[in-house]
Amino acid sequence: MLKDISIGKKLFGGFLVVLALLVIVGAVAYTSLGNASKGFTEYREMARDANLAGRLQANMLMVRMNVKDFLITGSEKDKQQYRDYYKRMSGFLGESQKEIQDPERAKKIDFVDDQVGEYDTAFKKVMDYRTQRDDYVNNTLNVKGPLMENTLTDIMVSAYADKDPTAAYYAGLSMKHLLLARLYMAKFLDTNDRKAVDRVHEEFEKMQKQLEILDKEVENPRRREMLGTVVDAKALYLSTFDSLAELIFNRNDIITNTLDRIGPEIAKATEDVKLDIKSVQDTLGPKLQAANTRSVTIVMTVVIVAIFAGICLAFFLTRGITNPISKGVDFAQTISKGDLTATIDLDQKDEVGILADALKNMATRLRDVVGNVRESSDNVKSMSENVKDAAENVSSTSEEMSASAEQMSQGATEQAASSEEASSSIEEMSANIKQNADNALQTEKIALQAAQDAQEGGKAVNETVSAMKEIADKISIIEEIARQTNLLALNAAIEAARAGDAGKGFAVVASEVRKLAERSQNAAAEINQLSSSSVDIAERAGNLLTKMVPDIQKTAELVQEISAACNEQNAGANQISTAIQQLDQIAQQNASAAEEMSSSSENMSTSAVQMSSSANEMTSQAESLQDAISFFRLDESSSITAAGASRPMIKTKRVVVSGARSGLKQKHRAPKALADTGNGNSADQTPVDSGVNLDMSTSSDRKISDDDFTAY
Amino acid sequence: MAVADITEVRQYLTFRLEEEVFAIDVIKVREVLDYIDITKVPQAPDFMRGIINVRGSVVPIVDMRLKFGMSRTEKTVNTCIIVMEIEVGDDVTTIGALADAVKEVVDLRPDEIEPAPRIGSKWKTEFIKGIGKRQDEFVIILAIDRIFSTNEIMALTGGETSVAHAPAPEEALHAPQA
Repeated sequence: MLKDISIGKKLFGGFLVVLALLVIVGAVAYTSLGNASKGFTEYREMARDANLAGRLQANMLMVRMNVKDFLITGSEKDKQQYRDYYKRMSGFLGESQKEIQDPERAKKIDFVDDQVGEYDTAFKKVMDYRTQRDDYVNNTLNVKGPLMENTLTDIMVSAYADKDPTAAYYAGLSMKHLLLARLYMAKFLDTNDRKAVDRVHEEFEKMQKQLEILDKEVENPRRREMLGTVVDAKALYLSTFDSLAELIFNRNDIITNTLDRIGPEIAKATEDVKLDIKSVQDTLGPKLQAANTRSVTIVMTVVIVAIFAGICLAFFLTRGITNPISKGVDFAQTISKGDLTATIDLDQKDEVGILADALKNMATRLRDVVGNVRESSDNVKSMSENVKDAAENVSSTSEEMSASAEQMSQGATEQAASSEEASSSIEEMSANIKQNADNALQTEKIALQAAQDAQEGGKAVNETVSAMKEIADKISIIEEIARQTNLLALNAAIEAARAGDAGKGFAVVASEVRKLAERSQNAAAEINQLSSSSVDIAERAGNLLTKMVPDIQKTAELVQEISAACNEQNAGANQISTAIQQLDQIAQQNASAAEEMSSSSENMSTSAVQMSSSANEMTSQAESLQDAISFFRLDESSSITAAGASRPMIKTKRVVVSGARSGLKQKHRAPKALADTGNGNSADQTPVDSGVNLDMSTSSDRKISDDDFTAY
Repeated sequence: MAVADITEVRQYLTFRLEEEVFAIDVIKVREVLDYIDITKVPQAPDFMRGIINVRGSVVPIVDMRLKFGMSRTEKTVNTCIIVMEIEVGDDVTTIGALADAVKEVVDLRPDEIEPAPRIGSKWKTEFIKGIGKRQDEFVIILAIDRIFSTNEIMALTGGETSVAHAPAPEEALHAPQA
């Protein structure tokens, strides 16, 4: 089952499959390429073989052509060419024997080799024949023929001269046959026809008959001698011709039976080799092509399959891993929110499955632990109820105690008397305070008025300063005028002096004017100085006034504060007087209550002992609860269980700490603790700040509890 | 002991240079002007401060303090220009002199005037006609005609005055007191 395999193995397996596909692709591609390469090498070898065979064939053809040429011309050049081509052909043949490996083709090539050797021997024989023929023709026939002809002509001429017509006649006939025989001989040389040979023989026979007749007829010794020469020559000629004919026939036999047979055979063999190669190539080429196409198709198919398989594997592996993990995460988140009823449904044995199982186990353990905690908390609750009962006992005893508090009343009555005295003096004090307040109010008014006046004074001073500055300006004008006047008077004096005695009187006047001007100048300077100094003083006065204003205002504010304080004091005094009156009453009540209280205190102590024992029990319970919870390792996030567990714990602790205190107090405290943890149940809650608030006379319960504190 | 050529009561214009009080014969003075702006003349000697316009005529201004080896005159409220007529030979030239302050016109009797001491004065005695005593205050009476040499006057007035009649500056400075 796929689910039971571990994630590592799954991943490893997936990659293994992909790798296997890759290996397959590689192997297929490798073999295909190898095959293609091998086929190509083979193909190339064949092409080379075919080429070799072709060249062999071509050279063979050249050899044959040269043989034909030689047969026609008999020239030395053709012989040379034959040798060249033969040599080259032999070279190719050797190469072919080396190169061509196919046994059948090799056999054919060997055959060709044999045939070529045979061909060569045959041709060499033909060449020998040719030499012999030439020898016959040139050294015998072409010598004896003209000799006979000349001799017969001589016979004819001599017979004619001797008036021997018969001899001449027969000699002429012999001559004719001789010429005919030679003609046919030449024809034979050209055509190699057997008929021509027969004809030559026939003509020679006819010539023989004529010669025999001539032999009978000729009696002249000289002519007889000549006839003998002819007969001899004729016999030699004929025998030579016969051997020539035989030679030529032998040669022709060799040509037709050997050369012309072997040549085509060789050509055919090489052609066969070529055709064979070609046919193999024709089959091999398409086969190779098909193989290549097939390889490409196979590789492509395998690649596509590999890609598809890889994608499928990746998809399934990812899903197979992430799905259970996300399930596990959801489960863990639910548990982290405190919902222990959550379940996880994973049936697999890989790491995720193990994780899920672990989570499941954890949840069960948590459920157990929380169950334990709940049980313990219930126990604690019952304990606390016990404690409550004990507290009620304590409360009843404390009621008894309230009766005994009446004894306190006597002292309290005295207290009341002195407090009345205090109240009267306080009233007196309050009257004084009132007067103080009034005075302060008046002072404040006066201070405000003073501040206003000071401000106005400052303003007036500023005006004065500006006016004085103006005066100084004006005075400087006067000073200038005085100076000018002085100058004018001086000039007048000068004029008067220059005028001599006539100006004397005027000079006196000018002098007087000058003195006046000087005096006014001095006076102006003095005024200027005075005004500048008074400006300084006025400015200082103004500054002082402006500085005074905020001080006065501050004074007014302070006075205001004083009056407010006086008012508050007044109210406080009133409150004190009422409080003293209340104190008076309370003291009276307290006195009566105190009496009872002392008697019931003993009862209360026993209940307190009881209470302390149950509190001890509760402590041990709480400890077990703590143990259970410490296994759980509580975080602040798991608030529901924590709150449930901690509620009774607080209670227990309170009991342990203030075990001997009144149960009623506990009763009021416990709901307060509940309210702190955020639950409702606060409808009948009244904040109890005992000791600070003076609200002591409203509830008798509380009063008693207060007394309880004092009693201890 | 009175000065020889002062035989009658004469009037003098007194003025101040720094803290010293000087006097000149009032006959030589044409008028006293308030300080006005002076137009500078290029390439003039140091003590020649420039020229001013006095009712249409050009008057050269000399700095008496510079002439007497004091520091240059700074303008104050009391700074005045004394317009004087100076005899150079036969000609009369008008020049203005800067004074720190002009005081008054006074009468001095011949017996109130002492001749200048020949030693112990920082002034060249040729310039000084005599020392006037007035209420325990000494007034230095200047011989204004001798203060400016002919050449200086010529320089000031643009060379209108003929040189023939004028003595050389050295002669003017060292002329024996008549």
